[in-house]
Amino acid sequence: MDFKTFWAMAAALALAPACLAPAGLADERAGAAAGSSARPGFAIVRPNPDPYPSTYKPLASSPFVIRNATVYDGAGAAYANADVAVADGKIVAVGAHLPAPAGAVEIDAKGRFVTPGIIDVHSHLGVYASPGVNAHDDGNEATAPARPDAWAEHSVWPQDPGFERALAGGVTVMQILPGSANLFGGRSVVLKNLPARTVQGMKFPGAPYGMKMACGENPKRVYGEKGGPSTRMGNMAGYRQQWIKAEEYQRRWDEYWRKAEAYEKQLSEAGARPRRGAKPAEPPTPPDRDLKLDTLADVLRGEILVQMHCYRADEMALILDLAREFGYRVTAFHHAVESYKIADLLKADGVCSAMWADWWGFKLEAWDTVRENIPMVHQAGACAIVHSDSAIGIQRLNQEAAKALADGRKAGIDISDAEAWIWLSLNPAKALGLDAVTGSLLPGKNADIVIWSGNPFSVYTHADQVFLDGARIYDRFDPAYQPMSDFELATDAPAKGGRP
Amino acid sequence: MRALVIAAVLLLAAPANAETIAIVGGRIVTNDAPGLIEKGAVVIKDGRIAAVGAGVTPPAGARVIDAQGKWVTPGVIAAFSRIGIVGVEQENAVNDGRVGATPVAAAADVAMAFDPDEAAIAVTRIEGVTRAAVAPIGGPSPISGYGAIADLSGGPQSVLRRRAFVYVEGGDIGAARAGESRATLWPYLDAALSDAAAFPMRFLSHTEGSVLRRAEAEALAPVLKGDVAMMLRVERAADIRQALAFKARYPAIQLTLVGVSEGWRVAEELARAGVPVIVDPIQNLPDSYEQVGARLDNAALLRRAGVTVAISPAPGADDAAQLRLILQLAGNAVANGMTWADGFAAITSVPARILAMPDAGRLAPGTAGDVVIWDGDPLEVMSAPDMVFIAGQEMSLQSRQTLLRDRYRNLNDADRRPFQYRR
Repeated sequence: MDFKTFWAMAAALALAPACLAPAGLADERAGAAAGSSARPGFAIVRPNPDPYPSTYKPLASSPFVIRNATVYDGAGAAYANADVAVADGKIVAVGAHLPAPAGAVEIDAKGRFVTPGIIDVHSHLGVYASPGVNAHDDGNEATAPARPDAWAEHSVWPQDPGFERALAGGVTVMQILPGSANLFGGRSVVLKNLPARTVQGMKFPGAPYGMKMACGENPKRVYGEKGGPSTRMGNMAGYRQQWIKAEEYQRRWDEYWRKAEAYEKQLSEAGARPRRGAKPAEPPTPPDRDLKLDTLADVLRGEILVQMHCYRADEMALILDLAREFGYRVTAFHHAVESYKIADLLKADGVCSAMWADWWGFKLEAWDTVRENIPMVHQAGACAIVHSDSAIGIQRLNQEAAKALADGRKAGIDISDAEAWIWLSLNPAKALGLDAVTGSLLPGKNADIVIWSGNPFSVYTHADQVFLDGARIYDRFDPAYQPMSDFELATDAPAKGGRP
Repeated sequence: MRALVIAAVLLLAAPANAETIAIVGGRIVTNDAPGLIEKGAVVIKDGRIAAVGAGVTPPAGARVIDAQGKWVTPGVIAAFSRIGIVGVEQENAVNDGRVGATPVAAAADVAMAFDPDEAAIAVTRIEGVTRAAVAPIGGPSPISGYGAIADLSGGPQSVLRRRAFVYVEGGDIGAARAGESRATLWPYLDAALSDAAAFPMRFLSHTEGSVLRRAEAEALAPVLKGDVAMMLRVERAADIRQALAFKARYPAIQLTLVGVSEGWRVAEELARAGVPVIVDPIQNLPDSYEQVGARLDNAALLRRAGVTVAISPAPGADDAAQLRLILQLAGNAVANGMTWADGFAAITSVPARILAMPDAGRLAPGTAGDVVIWDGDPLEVMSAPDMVFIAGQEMSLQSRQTLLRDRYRNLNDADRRPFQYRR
């Protein structure tokens, strides 16, 4: 059954007594709704949590072993002259003189470096696609400050040439976010960087959704003359009003499900031991669905991760209290240029900071950047992430980490190269709820790997090869592994005169 | 605190008391005939380079700085920027980088807007950038007005040359301002130059020419004669060809092209015309329809064809607060095929040549005492300056950002007073 049919029926059910529902469809409906029905004619209404499911399939791969590389495992460890063994799309082992998995191809990486693929937790690829014309302005549903009902995946254009550029920079996984015009910008989507015809083909199977929220200047600038919020206190009032509604919505649904389950049980018992003359109880009526509150309630349930655009330290501290007030968690502050001022608070609350190495000055809330923000947050024991927020920046996040690392060292913050790679893979994976499956070279994790031409913290280094789930998806020396979007077919270099 | 920084800067920028400095033992990038000198010495006297070489010994009484294991280079020069005129990009009151509709728009003069106290200047200086071309990019017409050349000392005499060039928007932006079409952009520029040619005679009885007002025609007149250079932004190949045709119509104009994303497609034509370009080598996306051929090796391909190539952040992008990225840009150009020497020249000696500053961008006797000592290869993202000199004066490596860092360096200080008490 497709999702349209499903929702049409769910809506009908919400309005009609169960006994009027078309009995012939009941089993199918119950199955699709992931509920159970004791007998035809009644099914508990449960919003489908995954109506646009991933169709991602890894490329075919064979086992391989990378030999003689310098390996940063993404979790903080470095290995010299080490091997990385991969089979069935997963990491088998990292270490010296590894036995090759059966049938493995050997890749000599002497003089080269191996790391987990880079994960960018803050990208607008696809929603602000290149070329940046009005027609591609799909990142901000700036028509009302609370639009948690907007889903970034419904804006992603998979032919954005930026995806291929990011791949050449070693990026294997990205979170695509709505923009920051709104207090509640909408749902994010986590993509694997294997090109596909559809966004579903890029969706990371099983990745939790994120929800974009924004602090500070952007919402008040966008709505200041459109009914508000026009101030930071208006921003806070706007969040709180929505959370109050979400709490009530969650309560109504929880109550419905409790009653519906009790009713289902009653039906099932009645079916087993029918009593003559017993009048069946009225089935409970599900609450009206609200697409905005669906998302917010799932945040309150802990199923959707809050990704919050916030620059200033004092605002972040208010947001942490806001989250406590309504019993949810902020997973990561994005941009977070003042995290260094409150790294202790961020550590205490277990919140990640996704940061630039040095971008600043374009607006007042970005005025207090320091070059050592990332290493200072890391040193305080809080979760530090290098992010891009840029179709240009995403192509060299390794250089951004290098700058931050060097500036930190110059200021006396001693962090090893291998430890710094945590900012590019394991910590971002954590902020996406995916650290159990990717983000480091731990055996059993997805074989998302980059082989670098040299030290990845050098400006002169390139990603030579990129692997996703154990399959080679990019090769700097082999055009057969250099994907190109439809948009660039007629505009690519060869068509315009060729490479010299 | 800001007052303290300003005071420190003023002290450092005070008139030279003729300290003689000898930087010894470093790897010297001269950008001049001797090329790279291993373990050489650079002597700075009276604010200028007095001697450079392997066999140079420090003069008696000189302050000797040990640069063993370090790189010693001329200070970095940005061929294009908006530093000193853009404070906070999104706050109009703190942004003089935009020119609105006014009868003197094309006569805008950024030298008068340049603020040596602007926070980005110290932020940029401590990364090794010592001079910059400063350009207006706004305005109601394609002609944005006069750019200037400034040093980044933060001193009151920072503006080295007023009215150094006129900045003109071609391409998408210029077309939008000249009647929404490239079909009217070039006739607009022709008409403007015709007005300039008619200055002052025509304007004795009229205040308006066919497109320029009197003050604007006056501003453009020296450009037509080649006394003041013109920077013209164009991106797509077809527009670059139009720019070269424009240059052929006005051979006296000292033309430099800015942007030039698709320059690699017309590299031979650019080389033949002898027109230099200022490119941002990491702009490799089809960000607009005039950049669909943008690629990472644009700078390398242009250079290989014999074009004079300077590197600077693209206009309107990271050309003010983030001008410091210029070094990373040059590094990426080298990573994508430029030679190291060309990449470094693109942010030192080439801008000096384009901007007609024969005393800068090189380390040779008589050139400016703008010198940087680096802890490694200056184009590497992990390298940083250890010392910066402008006109022979050692610059502070402090900025508002380093002060913020130091204030919050230790969050667990036993001193429980609020952070605002920390100096």
